Order: sequence, then structure tokens, then C-alpha cells
Amino acid sequence: MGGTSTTPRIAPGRIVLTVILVIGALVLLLPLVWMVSSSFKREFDIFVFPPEIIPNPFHWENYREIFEAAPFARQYFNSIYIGILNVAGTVVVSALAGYGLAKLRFPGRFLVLPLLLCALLLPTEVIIVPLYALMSRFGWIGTHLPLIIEPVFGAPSVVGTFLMRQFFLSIPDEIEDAGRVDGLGTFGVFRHVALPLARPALATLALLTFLASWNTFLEPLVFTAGNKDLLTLPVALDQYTDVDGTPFYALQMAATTLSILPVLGVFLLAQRQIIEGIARSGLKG
Amino acid sequence: MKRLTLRRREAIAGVLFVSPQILGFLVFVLGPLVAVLTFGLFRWNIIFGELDFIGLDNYRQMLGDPEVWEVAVTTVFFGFGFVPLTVLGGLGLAVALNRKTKVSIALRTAYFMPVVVSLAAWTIVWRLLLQPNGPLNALLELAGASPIAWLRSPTFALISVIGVQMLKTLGYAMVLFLAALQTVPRELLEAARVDGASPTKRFRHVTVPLIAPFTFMVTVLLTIASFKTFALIHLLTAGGPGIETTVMSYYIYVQGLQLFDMGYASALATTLFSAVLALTVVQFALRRRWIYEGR
Repeated sequence: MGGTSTTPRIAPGRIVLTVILVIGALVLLLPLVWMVSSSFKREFDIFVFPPEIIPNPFHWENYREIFEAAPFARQYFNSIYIGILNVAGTVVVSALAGYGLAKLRFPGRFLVLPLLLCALLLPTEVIIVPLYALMSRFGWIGTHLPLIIEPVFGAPSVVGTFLMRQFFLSIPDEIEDAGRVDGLGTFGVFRHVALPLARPALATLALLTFLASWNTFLEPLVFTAGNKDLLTLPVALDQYTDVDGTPFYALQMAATTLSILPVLGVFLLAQRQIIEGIARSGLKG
Repeated sequence: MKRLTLRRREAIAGVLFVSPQILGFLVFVLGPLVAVLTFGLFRWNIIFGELDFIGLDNYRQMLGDPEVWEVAVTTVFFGFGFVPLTVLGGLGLAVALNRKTKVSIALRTAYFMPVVVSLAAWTIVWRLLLQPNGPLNALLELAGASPIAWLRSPTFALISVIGVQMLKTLGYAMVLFLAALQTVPRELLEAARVDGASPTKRFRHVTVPLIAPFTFMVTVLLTIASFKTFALIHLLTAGGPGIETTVMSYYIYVQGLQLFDMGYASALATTLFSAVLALTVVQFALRRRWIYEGR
């Protein structure tokens, strides 16, 4: 990180631009500020005119009530453990497939890549109906299995496979040959030579997979079949409504705040890896 | 003989390495896709357990239904609003923030933040902001303007869903363009500068042609993303008012998983998939012309 802002004079155009960019960023982040602020207000204080950014007085009750009005702790736990299993599974599946595609010669290998590319082009919405039918045939509707098995083996892990393939392509074959000379088999080379080198790529993959799992909406909505105990956070946020479906905004903002904070925390800590990972899987996928 | 077995061994290993992914792809992507193409020809409802072959009836029903046409038009409008705005916005941000000063790096972080937030959370927050008596209208009122029915007027509802999605995706496009800008050789820009080219000219005649392949990829990615808006529509407007903001991906869900007319939903999904595919093919076909144009 080099602060190279030691240029003797700054052009006035640059200052204007910076001001515009700062205002733009504030506009973009203000919704998140408003979310936090509203989460500390009573329902009817949210809509007072003129709007107040700082809640006066602070009300902490929302953060208690979201746990009482719904199984929010359970849902939070669901998101965490499903995310962890997604990461564990995807790392294995994508590392194996990525390595196979990058380094091993087998019949049909040139067909696999364009085929997998289909998965990246296909919006889940297109296949959600047969996916639902499939899961219901498996007897998995109303369980967490679809939220664990499908992303690990299906379309979401394909992104990871492309990411890992890209990385393994960058490892020179000579390094692996050295391992082979030492008497390692194909899996041994993968496990003891390639995989340790891939640690940074695996970390990026783990981060992106966890984010994707944490943020998925359509699949949990469809596959949990309305069982509140099974919901994950993105779907659970909308559960705080009256009988007509009118939102209790204060509760929703409290729940949303709790669902976003860890993500923003992880993002600020691992910013570089996340951004580079997204740029790489986005552009070279 | 030995070499042959080695090669065969590698082939077996290769197949084993990719097989979990391939199997998953067959079961969870290709299988369902084939099912969608097939069941579009059936009357299919798993609640009543009915499955009758009806040929092209679903498609006939589709073409004859003005609602479907309205949904198709909305889908196109959404794409035409969202994709160009996000491409241009992302490119603009990337160019403006492509420097290593502390301010620029902090601003990049700020613009990227919404990308990591879930679309559901982002939409739920915006649903509050856009309420008739919400903070956005309060600001308008403070500025002396009259409030706007953001989610209830047909025009503004569509503008709102496009805007909310765009603000969330801007940082993603920015990051992709920042990566693209790193591939432009400094010497080239320097040479153009020495030759007296203004910043605008350098951007127009050096940067833009050089990053064209990336611009192309970003456009393709955002086009595909513009069909993945389920959470946005579901939470912000539920497709309303009326069906004004119902895009095809949401309509498929309503028909297939709310009304359980799954054959009909499959026909709709086949149509959407054909459109995505056709669009991608056209974009790739135009790619050559587009990318060589500036050179």
C-alpha cells in the first residue's frame, strides 16, 4: 500500500471529482447507516419527520425481540453451519476438479470445460422448478440437504472449479515432477505438492463460497417449505411481519444488521483476497 | 508398455478427480435443464400428481397471454436499464479510482461494500427507504419537492428495482474494470501523452480499445446477472404494482412454485433460457467487430 499522494499540487478538477465520489459513496452507504439507526428505534419512531439519524433515545429491545418472535438464533446457526459445510465440500470438489482439469490428461477432458461453462450461464431461476421436483423425489424438501449438497456439487462449485483450475495452471509442472521422482503417485502429488501451494487460492475460494452460501435466497426459500426452524438468514429477515405481511421495520432492521455485520467484518479483514477472487473468477470464469 | 500404463493411470486419476463435479453437474444442472426443456411439453403438477403430454399447448397458452408479453417487456426494460447503467457507472468509478492514494483506496472499499451484502438484506433496507413516508421522501420533502410513490407507481417501481440492483452491483463492475485497467501498459499511455493527446483522447483511443475484451466480459456477466433478480423483486415489490415489475425469473417462480403449474413454468423457463443463450451467442458474435473497432 503506497501512499503516493505526495504530488506537489492537486488539480482543482481532481478535488471536484473527489468530492463527487465521496458524496456518491455516502449515498451508497447511507442505507446501511439508516439500517443500523432504525434498528435502535421503536417502530413508530422510524417514520418521524424530519428523519433522525441518531436514535433518541436508544432502544435495544428490537435485538431481544427478534430472538423471541422467531427462532432467530436457530436460523443464525443454520446459516453458519450450512456455510461451513458448503466451504468444506466445495473446497474438496473444486480443488479436485480444478486440478484434474489443469494437470491431468484423460479422455473427454476438452469437453468438460465448455460443458461446465453452461452452469455459469444458467440462472438458477430457470431450473428451480425441476430442482424442486428432484429434491422432493429425493425426499429432501423440508431438510437442509438441498442447501448443502446442491451448492457443493452443482452450479455454485463450478465457479470454484474454474478458480482452482486457473490457479493450478500457474504451477510449473517441474515442481510436481520433483514430487513424482520422490515416489508420490498422482494423488500424492496433488495432496502433498500442489495443495500446499494452493493455500492462498483455497482461502479465497473458502471466503467466496461462504459469502455465496450466506447470501443465497431463492434455494432456502423454496427448499425449506416454510419451516421457520430450517430458514437461513436472508429468508428469515422477512419473517417479521404482521398477519397481512406488513413488515415490522424496526425488527427487520435489527435482524438485517445482525446478518450483515459479520459479513462486513470479514470483508474488511480479507478485502484484498475477496476482491481479487471476485475479479479473477468473474473475468476468467 | 510401462508408459502406456502410466498414461492410463493418469487418465483414471483424471476421471476420478473430476467425477464429483461432473456427477453433481449432471444431477443438479444438466438434468434439471433437460427436464425444463422436456416438461414444457407436459401438464405437470406434483401436488395433484398429474403429468400429461400436451405438446405445444403450454407455448400456445404463453403466446396468447398478454400478461406474458408484459412480463417479457418488463424483463427487457430491466436489462436495458440495469446493464448499460452499471457498465458505464462501473467503468467511470474504476477510471476515477484507479490510483493508489489513500482516499481512492478507501472509496473503492466503500463502493464495493454493497457487493458482499446479501441481495435480500440490501433489498429489505431499501424497501424501508422507499416507503411513502420513508426517509427518501422525507429528504425530498425537506428539499421542497413532492414525495414520490417509489414502489406503487408503475414507472417509479421499475426505476426503483433497477436502481436498487444497480447500486448493489456498481462495485462489482468497478472491480472488474479496475482489473482491466491494470492490463493497459503505462508506456502506451505515456507515449500518447508525450504525443500531446489529451486525457479524454488517451482514454478514448488507448484505454477503451485495450480494455474492450474486458468490457465485453463485464457486459455478458451483467446481462446474465440481470436475470438473477429473484430476491430483489420478491422482497421489494413482489412483482407489483399489478405485474408492472414482474420479470421472467420471478414469473417462473409464481407459476411453478406458487400456482404449481409446473409444466407451464417449464415452458416459460425454456423461453427465458433460450433468450439468455441467444443473447450470449449474439454478444459473442458481435464481439469481434466490437473489439476490433477501436484499433
